[in-house]
Amino acid sequence: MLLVRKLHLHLAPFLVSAVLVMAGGIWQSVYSSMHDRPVSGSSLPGLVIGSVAAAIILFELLLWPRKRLRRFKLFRTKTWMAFHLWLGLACGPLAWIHAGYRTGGSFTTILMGLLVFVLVSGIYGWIMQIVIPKWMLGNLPHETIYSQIDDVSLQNALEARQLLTVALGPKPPQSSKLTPIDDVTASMRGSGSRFDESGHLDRIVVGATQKRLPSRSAWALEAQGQFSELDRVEIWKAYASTIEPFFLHRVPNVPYAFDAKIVKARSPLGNLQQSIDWFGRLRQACSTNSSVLLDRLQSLVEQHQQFAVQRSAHAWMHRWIAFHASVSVLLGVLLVAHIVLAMKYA
Amino acid sequence: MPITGKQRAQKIDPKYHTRRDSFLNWKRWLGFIGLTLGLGYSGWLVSDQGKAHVSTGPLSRAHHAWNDTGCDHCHTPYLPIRLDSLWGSAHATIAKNNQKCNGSCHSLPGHFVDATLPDIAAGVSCSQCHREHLGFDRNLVEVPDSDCAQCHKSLERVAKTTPKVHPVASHFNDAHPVAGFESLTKDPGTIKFSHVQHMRPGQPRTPGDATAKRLENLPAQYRDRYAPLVDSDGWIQLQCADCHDPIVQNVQFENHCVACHSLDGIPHGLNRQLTLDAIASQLPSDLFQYFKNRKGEQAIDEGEIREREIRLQSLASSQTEGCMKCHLPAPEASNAMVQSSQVPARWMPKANFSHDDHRMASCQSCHPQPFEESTSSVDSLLEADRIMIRGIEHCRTCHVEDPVKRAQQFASNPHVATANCVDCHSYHADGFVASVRSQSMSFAP
Repeated sequence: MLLVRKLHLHLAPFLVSAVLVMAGGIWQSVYSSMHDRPVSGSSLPGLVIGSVAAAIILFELLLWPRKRLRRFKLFRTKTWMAFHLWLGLACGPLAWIHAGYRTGGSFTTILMGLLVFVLVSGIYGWIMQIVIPKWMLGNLPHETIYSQIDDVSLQNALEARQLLTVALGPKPPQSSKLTPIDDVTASMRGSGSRFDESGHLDRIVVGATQKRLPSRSAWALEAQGQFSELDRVEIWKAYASTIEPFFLHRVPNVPYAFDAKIVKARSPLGNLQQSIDWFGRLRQACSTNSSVLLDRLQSLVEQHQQFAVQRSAHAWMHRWIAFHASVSVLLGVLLVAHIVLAMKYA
Repeated sequence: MPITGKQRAQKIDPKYHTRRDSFLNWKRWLGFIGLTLGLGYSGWLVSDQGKAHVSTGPLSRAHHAWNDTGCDHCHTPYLPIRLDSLWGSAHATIAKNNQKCNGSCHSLPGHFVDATLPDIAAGVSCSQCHREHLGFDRNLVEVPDSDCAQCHKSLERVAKTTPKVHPVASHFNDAHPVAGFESLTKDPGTIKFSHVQHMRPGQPRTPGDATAKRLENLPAQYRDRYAPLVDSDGWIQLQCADCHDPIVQNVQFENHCVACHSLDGIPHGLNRQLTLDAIASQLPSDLFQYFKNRKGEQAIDEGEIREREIRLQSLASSQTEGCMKCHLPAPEASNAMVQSSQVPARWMPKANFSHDDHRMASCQSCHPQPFEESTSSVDSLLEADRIMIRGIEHCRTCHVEDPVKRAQQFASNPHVATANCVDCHSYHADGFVASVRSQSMSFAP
């Protein structure tokens, strides 16, 4: 569907690729039938088809320097990417035709294997980049800008602390130790961030958060004095031991007051159903007056759960690039070696 | 307080894309590893150890000693060796590549070079037919028919003059000249020999006549040899292998004929003078003692001695006995006693044929004539003229060129075989070189 919607973008590169593959295949077949043997890479059609495939590989590798030099605005990114995808797809068949439908010796087999890996990883990435964003749009309403996840997590932790402090009063001494807020803010300063006048981290950009946080604080001011001492103790205890570690355990450069690995592995908030049960138990331990406050905390936790899913989706969507690009580099270097050695021993 | 657009823009780190990120780190590290691996592997490939990886496949048994590091024995760097390479068909390139094979290691003549157009002859490359890098068990001599057919599908195109041989010989099953023996009108041999007679029990000229042999008719020293051949009626029944020895290809008088056709001590195969001398030497003054010595203690009477004397004297001159029983007389001016047998050692001089490779077939299937049933008397001289080999059509019943048809025939004929040019023909030395295999014969069942 996406391809159909962007037909105008993909039509030209698709046609170019299809024509190249078909022309190469026909030329090879005709030449083979004329010579009663499969075409070799060093024959006229083999050499021309191989050169086209090599030029395509070079073009594919130019994607990297193009990113570095994007200030020069060399063609539209979408157009370049469409040619990258379709010419890359054509490269496999062209290389196979160039090789006379044989893998040859060890070196050329490795070369062909690397090309197949690059093609398959590219196709995988193409599919991932179409499917996952669409899925995220429907399933992760709290999705934020990926690079802002840590900042928003930290912001949520600090906002939750502020909410509890305003609504319940200071943390009772018997609760678990919190990560020192001064250390957290110092850490943020160390990374170039600071809090603005309204208490927000200045690194959080527009669009990273969906709701204005001050509204929560305003509600907390109104709710002051409605909570019992038991509520104060239970909620602060739950927050310090479980909720805040869950918010902060993946934020880098924070001097944690907890073991991040244990939180990652065993936190009852890591799973939606488990967290609902966990909050249910907490509600039973507190008075009914605390339900709105707990709803606010649960909302923040669910938002954070979606950040974890978003991290995972982001990894599926982008981690293949590391393999795709690195094997492409390897392929490019070995392609040069192949050209030199083929000229030497053809 | 609402913030301005500039303030909002300032919130975005202009170097956000260079911020340390696990994905970016992965990409950079793996990219570096890819680059390093690529450079390292490329460097290794150009070393001696890496040549085996560059090779497009294992070398055949003949060249396998160079499989790993011996590229330069055949390849000239940056000179294409494949004929279908872009500059590989240049005559100078071919000559230089051929020199690597033929001259330094091999010494093989070309194929009708003098009769071929110079441009065509100069374009023939060793590697064009003998394709390497196709595996250890690849037989370099197994050249596909298409290579031969390049010229033989139309010799007029490549020959300097109108070819004297068959201009079209591209497919064994439908475009192949008749075999060499089929162009003969009669057997060129001069031996008066009847296969039909010799395959009869007792080898009589006419079935049932008195010339039929039993074991007791043979000299004592040959009886052990022929005893296994005595049939249930007591007649000697020869088999093909009794004369067509598996080791010595040609029939030899001393080995295969002498048991029945004794020359009474006169050597076989001498010229006229030596033969006459030998006959004279067999007439000693004391003939009685001579025959006594020859037959041990067995007594021979005077009459028999006299009969032998007459027989020996007649051997040299008789047209029906002695030499002339089997041979034709030599011309008067000749020093030969008789005409040489002139039985062809090779019936197909341009093709190699191995009886050993055809051992699964009975002799009769290809040579049915000696087994013909006949009750009449044979004329050895007439019968000797007959060609006793079935024609090429019979070869085609087993040798099928089309692999699909071959597979189809396999169910009914498990001996169905290929019909490639190189199955029968040699290329070098103008195709007249017989392979070593073709010299051996075996008639074991």
